[in-house]
Amino acid sequence: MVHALEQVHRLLKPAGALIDIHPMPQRPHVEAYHEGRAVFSEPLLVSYLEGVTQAERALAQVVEEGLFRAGRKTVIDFRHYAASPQTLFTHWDAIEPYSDSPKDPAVAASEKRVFRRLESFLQTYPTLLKIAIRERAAITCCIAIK
Amino acid sequence: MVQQDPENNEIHALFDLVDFTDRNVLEIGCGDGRLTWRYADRTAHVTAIDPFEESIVRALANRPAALTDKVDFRHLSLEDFGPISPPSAFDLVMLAWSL
Repeated sequence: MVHALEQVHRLLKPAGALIDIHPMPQRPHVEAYHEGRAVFSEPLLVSYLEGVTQAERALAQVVEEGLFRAGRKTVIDFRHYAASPQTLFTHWDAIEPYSDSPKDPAVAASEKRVFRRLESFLQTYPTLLKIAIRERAAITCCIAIK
Repeated sequence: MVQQDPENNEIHALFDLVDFTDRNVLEIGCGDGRLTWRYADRTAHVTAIDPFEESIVRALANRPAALTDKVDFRHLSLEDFGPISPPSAFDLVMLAWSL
């Protein structure tokens, strides 16, 4: 990761900006909303948290090395909405763990349990709900020093 | 069908952090161009790379006609793109969920 950031530094003009978007090192939530309020919210087990921590360390390292100056950072909620739990599950299954490596079986099993509980919840709730996976993400701006 | 960030929290935060106007941008990990379309019209040019060929094929298929000359998608990883790109070529490099 540090090597990738060094490569980015080479590609940037002096005072050019590096923008990094990555999930925060915390678990995303499967949620169902009624009139904008979460009435179902359960955390998902994910396999990428260690990678996120490494990414944050790598960013800190290139700042310490004097390649970049730390700029502003902001945190957002990023939601993936779907019409059904099955569609949401299939989508999440395809994008997590944000790499081409196979998904950890324990993570996959945990996901299935959470989605089954969401399906059961939806069947008992009296009105149609919006459903989503909510990730908290950090967007960081660093300025190239040359 | 899945809708990702229909609230536009991501792009609003990006526009608040950095000015894309007339910038030469490199987006690393562009995927199917989901984020690229939201800012590209403000830039001078975008080079968008991704190591997954399937993603680049989808991005090219989805590219709005008005942005054909502005956005260049390439099926490359940073590891492969870096050495063939001249130094100091970009005003802004974005690592989009890819570090």
